[in-house]
Amino acid sequence: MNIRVCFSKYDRLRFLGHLDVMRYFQHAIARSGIPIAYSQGFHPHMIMSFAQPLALSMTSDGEYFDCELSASEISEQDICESLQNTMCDGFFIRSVTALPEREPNTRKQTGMSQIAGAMYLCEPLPGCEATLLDAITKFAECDSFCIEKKAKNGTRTVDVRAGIHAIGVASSDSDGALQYLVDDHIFDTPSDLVSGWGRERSEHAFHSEYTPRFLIAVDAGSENNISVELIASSLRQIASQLTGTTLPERCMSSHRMELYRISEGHMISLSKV
Amino acid sequence: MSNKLALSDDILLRVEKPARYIGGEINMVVKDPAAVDIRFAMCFPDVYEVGMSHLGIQILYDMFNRRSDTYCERVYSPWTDLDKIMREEHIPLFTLETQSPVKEFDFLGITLQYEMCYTNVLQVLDLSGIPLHSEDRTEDDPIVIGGGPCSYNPEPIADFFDFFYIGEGETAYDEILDLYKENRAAGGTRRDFLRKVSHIEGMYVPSLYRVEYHEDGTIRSFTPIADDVPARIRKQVVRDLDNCVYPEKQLLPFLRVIQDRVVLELQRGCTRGCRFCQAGMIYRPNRERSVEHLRNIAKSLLDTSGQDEMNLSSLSSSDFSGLQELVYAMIDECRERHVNLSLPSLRIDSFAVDVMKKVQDVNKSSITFAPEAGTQRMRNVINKGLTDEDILSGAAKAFAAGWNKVKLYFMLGLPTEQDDDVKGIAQLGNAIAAEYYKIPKEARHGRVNVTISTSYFIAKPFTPFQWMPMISKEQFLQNQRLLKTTVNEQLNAKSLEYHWHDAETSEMEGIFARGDRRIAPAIEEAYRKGCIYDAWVEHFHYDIWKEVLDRHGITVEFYNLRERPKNEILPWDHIDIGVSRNFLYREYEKAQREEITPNCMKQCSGCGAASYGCGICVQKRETSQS
Repeated sequence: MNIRVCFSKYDRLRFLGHLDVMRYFQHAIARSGIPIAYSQGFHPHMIMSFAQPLALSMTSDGEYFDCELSASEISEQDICESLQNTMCDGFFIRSVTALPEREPNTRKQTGMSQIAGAMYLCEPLPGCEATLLDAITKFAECDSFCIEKKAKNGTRTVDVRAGIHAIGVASSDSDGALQYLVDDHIFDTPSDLVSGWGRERSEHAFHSEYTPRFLIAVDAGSENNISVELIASSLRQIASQLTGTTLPERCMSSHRMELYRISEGHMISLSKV
Repeated sequence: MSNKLALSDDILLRVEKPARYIGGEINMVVKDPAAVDIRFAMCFPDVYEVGMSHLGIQILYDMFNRRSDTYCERVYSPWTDLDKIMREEHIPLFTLETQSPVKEFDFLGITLQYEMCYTNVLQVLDLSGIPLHSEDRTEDDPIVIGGGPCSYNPEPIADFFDFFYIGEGETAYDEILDLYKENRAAGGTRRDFLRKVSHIEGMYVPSLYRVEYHEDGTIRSFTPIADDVPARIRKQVVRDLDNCVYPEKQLLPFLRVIQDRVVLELQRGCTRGCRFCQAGMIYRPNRERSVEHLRNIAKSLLDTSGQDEMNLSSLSSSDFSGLQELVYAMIDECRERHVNLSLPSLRIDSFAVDVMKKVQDVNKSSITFAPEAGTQRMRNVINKGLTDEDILSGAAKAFAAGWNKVKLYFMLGLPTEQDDDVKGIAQLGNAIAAEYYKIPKEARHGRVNVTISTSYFIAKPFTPFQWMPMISKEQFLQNQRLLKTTVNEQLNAKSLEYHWHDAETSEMEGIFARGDRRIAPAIEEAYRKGCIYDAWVEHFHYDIWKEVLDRHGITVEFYNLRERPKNEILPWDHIDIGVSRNFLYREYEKAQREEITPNCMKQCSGCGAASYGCGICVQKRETSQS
């Protein structure tokens, strides 16, 4: 039996790196007593696959890993509770979902390889609010916005704007309500966003409730990954063209809301299988 | 748990491994600091990954936090990158749990595991905003306590501590903390408290003693300043390890630390009596935990940590009487849980080979011997009860079982060492390689690889060699060259590899180890000139140290290279470890006669540790009666 675990990572643990998160969950699974499957060989390891690493200092409600269990007569609910009981402050198990049995002769689909989109909630740091808001408005109006991206094998040009499918802004003008500057209508909106701001989530993410904030839905995964860093660099460039101000390298704090896979042209949450 | 971090996101993103500074680990204790009477900051003065690997802190952390009136938190040395930022931005050093400034605490306890951490002690005090000198501290400063092996000769750093706890922490801390509350309730000052602490057995308050020196630099007298202050400070010992606190939940770091495994402490002390070994003397008498107790602890440690490796820890595991029973039971339990079992300090015999086959990957692991010296004569001098025959037959068994990598550890510069003893190291390495090639070619697994490592012998307090001269750095380098040449001359030279240890850190360690109170100003000056993390070769500045020591008139001739006469007052003579000075001197004389002293398990040599009335000292009496 394969399961997909969705978890939140927040508070001080936003400074925990990806490898340490993986280690943490190996230990947590061992403590929980969940019947995890091990690989063969002299040094067996738990069969686990983690989705996209989160940048240091970011919080998230959309972290995922898949793992294989050695038993199948255990309920999703029980697994979820057993895991949650071993969590320390800063980790929260949001859901556990059983994955459908793989069709014979098909390639194994792990959480990692399915990722196609991501949604982020960003909050300008004090002093950057107005400039960032102007920049994002300008950015939304562009048809394309290209930027140099450093990769392992040299730099390449990425059209950041083309990888963006929704931008919503909440400001004091809008009384905190989300107003979409861009919306391709291909992303499932997390249900708690429909009714406002997902307060439960943003409590984890941010220190205060002050606005503006903006939401941004992007392409993600191995093919065309638009990271928060790329978005921030784009906004900094636009800001400097617009007003001549140089925003600090860290101009906003960010929270990952969800990861998505694509199905029939639509982005649906990784936890929906 | 408050989520406010002491460092801003900006800083945390600028430093290497920010997870060192955020706390929040599994099994971290959370309390409301406002709801306790005593706040205790426990410090290991090195980087997080080193400090978190230390079992002693886990034990004390657990013990203190069992008291509802006390909250014990942890603090480690900030790494050099953060150190710089904290100085520039005037950020006070903070604890991991509540991220609050160390200066707000009632106590700062610092464990002293090696001499080369002394400048880090000053770093911790300085970054905390606590005056470096005990005499300059006020009622607003924490009481600074030292403990651990280096507190057995605390003189070089005596000025920086309010008191030292000599011995094992489990015995007297309750009394100390109760006394602290009492003193505070009665409106007593820190001076009042320290005076009363000196009346508790094992507590050494350096400010209550006066040292005078002869003109030649040796000590004329070491005396308490008043009659109520004890002249000698007696080491604290846990008498029954089965009935003392042991952390059933150990803190589990997020980061991969140096000892990335749960630790099961089998026993304390060692029965071997190697004459160079300080641990073998200061932790006497040897006391074991029962197998049943250990199995219970092991189960709970694994349940509460989820760790995938467990280490059976001891100075000499092979001497633990229940080892076979414990290990065979643990192998099964660990296999079920997918936990690796690691057994360091195991003497290589049939049992060890059998166990290693079960718990290690023959292709990847190596077998380790620590003969410490290359010839039987030299091993008799140091009382290392390991013969060439033991080593060669152990190696042969391991080779037959498929191993082909051997690691050998030696010391250079041991007392009475001759060129032949140095060459003997290479010859022993060669003999081990030759043992491998006795196996028929078709049964071998490739070529054998014998790695020889040497370190620089450092004479330590409370060993029979405490009176002995060390060799000079130049002589040490010469011996290394001689060994290198001899290794290359061996028949199996291609199977031998030689690694050596840097001499400069060891020279300094020698000065600190047997130093007196006159070293303190030099340590302080070296720190002011930027020395921290001296234990890390890449951060050790020999040039600065050399210059500072010269200016303070501190010479290797006086501290390292000199034979100390029997009647000289040694800087640590006021500490009583149970093992008598007379016994150590007898051992010193026997070493010169190349005579060995039997293992405590075979025969009592009357070292004096029996005065604690526990462990091996008592068991033997029972067996001889029955």
